Amino acid sequence: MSKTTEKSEELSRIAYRRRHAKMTKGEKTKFRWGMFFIAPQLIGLAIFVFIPMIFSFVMSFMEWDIVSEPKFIGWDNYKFMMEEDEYVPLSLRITVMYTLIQVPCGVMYTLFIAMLLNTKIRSRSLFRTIFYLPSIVPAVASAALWIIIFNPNNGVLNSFLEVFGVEPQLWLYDEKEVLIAFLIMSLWGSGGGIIVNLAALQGVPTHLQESMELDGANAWHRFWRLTVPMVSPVIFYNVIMGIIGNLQGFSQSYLMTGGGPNNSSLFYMLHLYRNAFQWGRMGYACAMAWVLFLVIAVFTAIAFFIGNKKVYYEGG
Amino acid sequence: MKKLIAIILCLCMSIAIFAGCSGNGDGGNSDGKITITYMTWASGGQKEVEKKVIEEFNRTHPDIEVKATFVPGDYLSRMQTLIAGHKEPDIALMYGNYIHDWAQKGLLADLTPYTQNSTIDFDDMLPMAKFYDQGKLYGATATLETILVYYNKQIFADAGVTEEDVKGWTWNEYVEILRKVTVDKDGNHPGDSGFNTKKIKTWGTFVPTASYINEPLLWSNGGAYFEPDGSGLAVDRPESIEVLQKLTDLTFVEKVAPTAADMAGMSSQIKMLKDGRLASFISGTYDIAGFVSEDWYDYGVAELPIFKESANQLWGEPVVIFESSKHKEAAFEFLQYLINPEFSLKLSEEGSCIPAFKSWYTDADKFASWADNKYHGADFRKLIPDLVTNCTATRTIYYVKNSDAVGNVIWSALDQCFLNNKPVRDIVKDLDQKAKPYLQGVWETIPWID
Repeated sequence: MSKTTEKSEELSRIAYRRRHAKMTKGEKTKFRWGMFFIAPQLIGLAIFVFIPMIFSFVMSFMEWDIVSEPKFIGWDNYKFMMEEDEYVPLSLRITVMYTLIQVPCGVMYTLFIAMLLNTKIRSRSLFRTIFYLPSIVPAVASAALWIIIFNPNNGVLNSFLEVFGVEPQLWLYDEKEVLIAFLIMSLWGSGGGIIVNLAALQGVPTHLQESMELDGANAWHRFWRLTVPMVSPVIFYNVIMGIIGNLQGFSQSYLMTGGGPNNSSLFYMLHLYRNAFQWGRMGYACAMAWVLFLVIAVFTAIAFFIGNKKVYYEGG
Repeated sequence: MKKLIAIILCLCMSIAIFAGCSGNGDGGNSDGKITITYMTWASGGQKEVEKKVIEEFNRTHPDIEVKATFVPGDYLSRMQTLIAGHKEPDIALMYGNYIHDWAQKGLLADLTPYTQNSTIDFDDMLPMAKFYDQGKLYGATATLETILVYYNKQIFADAGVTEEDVKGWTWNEYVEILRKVTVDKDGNHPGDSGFNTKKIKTWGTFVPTASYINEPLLWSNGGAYFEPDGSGLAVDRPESIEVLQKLTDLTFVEKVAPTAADMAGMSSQIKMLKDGRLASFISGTYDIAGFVSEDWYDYGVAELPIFKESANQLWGEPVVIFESSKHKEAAFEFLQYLINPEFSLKLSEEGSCIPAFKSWYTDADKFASWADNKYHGADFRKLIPDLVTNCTATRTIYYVKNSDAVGNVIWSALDQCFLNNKPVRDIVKDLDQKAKPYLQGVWETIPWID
């Protein structure tokens, strides 16, 4: 055989191997050990996430009050949700509205605080701790605390506002203010988001800042054209997590207002919880859960769509 | 070597996951003893009494051991979870509005056969203390409650109100008295020119917004929350609207009661009555125990104000035995102990409840043994026997199917009236429509409502 055909045969052999590569013995062993180590995690995922998801999906076509056998009823739960239950569109509207308010406010607030915490002040670590601590306070303790703060009669917040001449507000007792109250509470507890933003801010190269300054860019320009794009992956992360988290909001309205006053803080998950555990309609609650899943999926998809265009990832 | 350590760590972690999944043993039978499990929401004083009863029972019944679980939080979810996992207790307290449903689903044990040879005189029990479904007995209670108006004797006396005035008082007379006793820090009463609701010294009353407290007021006027035959809501009857509007007006028109926002910073109604910052309030007989803890007895009790006829409510949550229990006889032995009037005597004595047996109101000695002490005033002793023996009503939610969901529609809507002064007429207009998806009728016709 000539040299060229030998070479081309060699090349086609290599190409064949690349396409049909089998693992070597060493690689197989490594693979097996890898699977062994992640097995508990995978089993946990299967038992505690996937199987309940399938179970809940199947239950959404049943009528089940927990204490007796489930009864198959086909699409009735979904039909009831679309046609008769007026609390579903109501609670969905309230939850979506709250999410659309909380996410932008949360993103702006956490970025602002993170920028402050990034400046060279003396007790920087102390302030970072102070802003992070609220996020580890358990939900029930936090709710009890804020009920006292929001007390319309002589609560901390009203007393504080009185100094500025603001009239005492009803907060949790006012249909229009209750979501604002939840917003304030959520900003107080957004320490996790602040830390993540802080980490991203520290990745903004200072030499670019300086060169922009030299070129005559003012603070706003530097912020909008340099800081924000460099931090945009984290902003994107906060937006996604905020959407997913707030659409499933529950503890504030369960612990503090019971959905009131007059159902103005009736979050979707609270209505779901009532159906599941208080009114004996677990199947219906499962159907509600899957509808929420679709809603979250749609919002997240929109966010990803916008995000992929706007987010700048350095280093690809 | 590293791999070995890693493997051992992994195994430890995996085992830790499954440690939480261990089931409990099956109900005893080791060393020949029967173990029965009892679940209850009792807390505070009642918990102490129940603990003593259990100790006493275990001591006198060497072949049975009762293990109690006291659940402080969400009792219903806990119970439902246990039933779903087939680990429900043998005997438990349960909410009365679930009895029909669970009895018909076969969850509860029929107690009727056991009552034949029981040490308890079931015939002496008041009808509201027994829970039947389709003629069979499924639950019973020894602790009942009814509703009273509590008032600060000093404040009423200073305003010239005598005991005769509070006997058989009409709603209008009641409101008149409230206007007399409500006073602000400058001595002005409602209707006076300088009256300022932001500087109140003494409020007349708190508005009883809880349905299980204000429902008898609706009945008194010929109204109700639910139609007795389950055909729909009765809250849109003009008689019901009138009562609910008058309750709302206590805050916004008569100005004898604080708004819900005002109440946010206030202490309990019992403390406020004691301190003279509240002249009266409407509540269940269980609040007598609250006064006992405050060790203050200078209050009077009166019946509910009357619209057209006098009305009140007598109720208590039952103890039930589950059908799945393997030791129903033993459980019934314990049930007899629990609902024995001698046991509830201690609770009635100290005001947590009132007895469930007729003879304890009609027989002078029995009556004195729980009611003749410093915790119960003379006016209580005069009022209670007739009030209880003439009462024909208990909680309507025991009769209404799906009462939690239907009730939520009604009572969250009425929030708007009590909190924001929206006219009751407008709020109840479309309630029938809103409640329709949840209405499923009644288990049996509510007998005391027309």
